Amino acid sequence: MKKRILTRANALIILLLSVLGFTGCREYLVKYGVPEPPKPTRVAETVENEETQDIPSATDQAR
Amino acid sequence: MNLRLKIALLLESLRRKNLKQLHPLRQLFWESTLRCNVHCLHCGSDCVASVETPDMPAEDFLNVIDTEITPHVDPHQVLIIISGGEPLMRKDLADIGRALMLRGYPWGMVTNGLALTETRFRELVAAGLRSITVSCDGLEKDHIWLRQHPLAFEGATRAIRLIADYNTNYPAPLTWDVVTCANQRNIGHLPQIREMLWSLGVRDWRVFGIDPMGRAATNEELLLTDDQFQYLMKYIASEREAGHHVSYSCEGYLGGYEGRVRDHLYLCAAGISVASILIDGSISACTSIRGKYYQGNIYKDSFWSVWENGFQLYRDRSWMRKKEPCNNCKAWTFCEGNGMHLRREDGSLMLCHLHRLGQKN
Repeated sequence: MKKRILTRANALIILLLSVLGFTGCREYLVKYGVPEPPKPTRVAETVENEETQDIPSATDQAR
Repeated sequence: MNLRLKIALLLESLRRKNLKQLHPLRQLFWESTLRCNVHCLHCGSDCVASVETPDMPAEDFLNVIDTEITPHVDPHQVLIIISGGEPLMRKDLADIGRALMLRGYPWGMVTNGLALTETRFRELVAAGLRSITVSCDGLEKDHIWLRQHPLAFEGATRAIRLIADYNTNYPAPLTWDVVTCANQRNIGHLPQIREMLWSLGVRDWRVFGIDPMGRAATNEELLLTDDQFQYLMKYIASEREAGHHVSYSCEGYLGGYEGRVRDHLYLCAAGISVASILIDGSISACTSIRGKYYQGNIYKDSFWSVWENGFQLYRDRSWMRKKEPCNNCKAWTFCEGNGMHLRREDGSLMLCHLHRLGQKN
């Protein structure tokens, strides 16, 4: 419960900071604090490729 | 300092207070090796024992991930940064990255680029690399001087081109930037360095000053004077006003420059959302923090127990206020003793950015 209140309070502060023109706090969280997770499809492809020993280039997998 | 900034800093101090209670683990540094293929003049680690110190076995690190961390976090929300030394010195780097990816963790690294061939880069991207920072410390001559390797510049620029090309042509771009260590030799060339980096495809450039620690502690040519530091702040602010994404690094409270030279307001997240596992298993926050502040060791202690119950020196920094120059500082609420990595073993502060700027709050 306390955790939820603190988390929501911080979300509100970030919103207030954005209103004041300091949008970077949110961007900072996105960029460094909550990074984009690996793509599940890439994980699956990697496993599949490992099994078949047919490993295409990394860029092909990312594509 | 204007009223808008003062209100924002007060709000940020409230957010920091809440974050200390929440202390969500968001970034985990792993000092995977002390080996390095260059011999930088400014290296923050002493690197004296690097040849003798073996790499930490990957299974030891992954064991901590599996037994101590994964049960308590959403892996997608924890960025693991593999650091060194030079992480590319580890031949099993892609295997480790893949193991992290399969567990759902995004991972990243900081590299000098020297060993980043196209084949290696593709291998790492396939292994789930999500974030990469390349060190480039100036124009060719200055970079080679600082890195002490004749091919250092060629390696860094090759790495930058590889990443820029990848991000241009593929739909799952990496988060990446270039980091530059500002020093006596390159401080006069910052506009030329930015132009050079932009010509290579860089669009995020981070600059930091050297702190008086590691090898830099005894090399005055590396440390900026107060005037040069003030010039650096003015320069970064002017580039940002011109629409170029140049930033000062995360360290140091910057008074009136807050909000003007970084995306975010000052927050030393060490021990609040940042932890590290060092080469000998020590549990710390940022890797450059002095040994006195280590909180445990993965070979003796439960990492999660340390994260939850330790780190009190990091989450309650009131002890810093008893020391000069923080004891009478009006900026305490916003700064809280500056970066944790700037504290010596005896608790004194190596460097006050506010003093360097000649500002008082």
